[in-house]
Amino acid sequence: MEDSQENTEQDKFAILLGKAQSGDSDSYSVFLDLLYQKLKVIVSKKTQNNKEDLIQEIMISVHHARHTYDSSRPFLPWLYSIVNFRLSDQKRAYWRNGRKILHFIENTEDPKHTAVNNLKNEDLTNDLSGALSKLPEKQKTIVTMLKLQGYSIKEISEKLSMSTTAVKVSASRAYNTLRSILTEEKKQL
Amino acid sequence: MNIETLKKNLIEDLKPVSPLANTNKQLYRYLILCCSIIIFFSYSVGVREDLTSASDNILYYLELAVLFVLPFSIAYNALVLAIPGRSSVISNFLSLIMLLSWTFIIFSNLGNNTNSNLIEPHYDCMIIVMIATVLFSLVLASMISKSYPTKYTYTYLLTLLSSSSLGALTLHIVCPITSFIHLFYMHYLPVLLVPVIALPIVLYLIRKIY
Repeated sequence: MEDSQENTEQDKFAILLGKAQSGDSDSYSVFLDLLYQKLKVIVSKKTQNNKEDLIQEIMISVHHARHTYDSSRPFLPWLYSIVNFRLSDQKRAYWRNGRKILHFIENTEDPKHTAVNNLKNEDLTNDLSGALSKLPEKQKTIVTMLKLQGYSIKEISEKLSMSTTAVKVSASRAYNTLRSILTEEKKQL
Repeated sequence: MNIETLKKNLIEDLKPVSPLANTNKQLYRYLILCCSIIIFFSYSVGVREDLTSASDNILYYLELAVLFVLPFSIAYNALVLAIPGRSSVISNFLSLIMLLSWTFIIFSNLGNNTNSNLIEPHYDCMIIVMIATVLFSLVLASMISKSYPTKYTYTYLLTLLSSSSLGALTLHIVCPITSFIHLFYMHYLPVLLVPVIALPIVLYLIRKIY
């Protein structure tokens, strides 16, 4: 039953993309709507980070790769290949940015120069405190010690009996979580 | 960007596209272009003078056949892999068999060859294999760039391997030197080293372009 449903879905995608290859914009519009719904399901299973960005990147890739699709072949293996490619690209970018964040942390150990200490806006500080309280206990401690109490990474690693790398990684993860919490709250407003 | 804006932009950008040529057709085109390059090298450098006596040796024919099938089976793999969601088990298997056969032939050649004297290093072989590899790589890479390689490290490694083995085929036709030191350092080693050295450069360039 599930197989036949998947085949019907694949056929639908294949027909629509086939028509889009010849420049039919109405079929392409329907194809993009279906693709977006399908990608939401696929991406949710694969990652929890920046899902919307990833979906948009995949849709752009599908657009650029549409000439490589052979409508006589199943659609989903073709799509999954692009999804996995974009997903690994996103992971690479995540680790690259992670390194940049770590570099930033290492160069802003002085609490006088941290963004949190320079905040004057009370609302923003409240938002940050709210977001901080949602972090896991260890990450919260590390961010507080690093950014509010002015401890260095080395000092934190000694106090918490962790390696410096583990402190850096925890801090980086905490910043990513903080960023997504604050972005989510901003969207809700 | 909002998803609706993205959809609108993609629809506006929609132009009719001609579906990618069949992989077999692409391979035939590659084969014709490569044969033309090999003929060009054979004319400009000259076919080895001892070709008639060399062809008495069964290993010469065997190596020639292997060196002909190997690059094209690897190229077929690369062309298939450049299409999202596709792979070819048969050409993978054939490439592996050919690679093993070539390794076997190399060792047999080395075992039979007692001529270890190398009066001159003959660097021209190394230069030929490098120029040929660059030319063959450009041809295959331009064909691959028309697709959408999702595993591009592996795809471009295969491209370089195919090109360097075509370089070895060219040398096999033009170089008469049978000294195993020469064969090892000027024929086989560059064929293995060129893909390893060139791959990071190729990947760097691709990341810069895309």
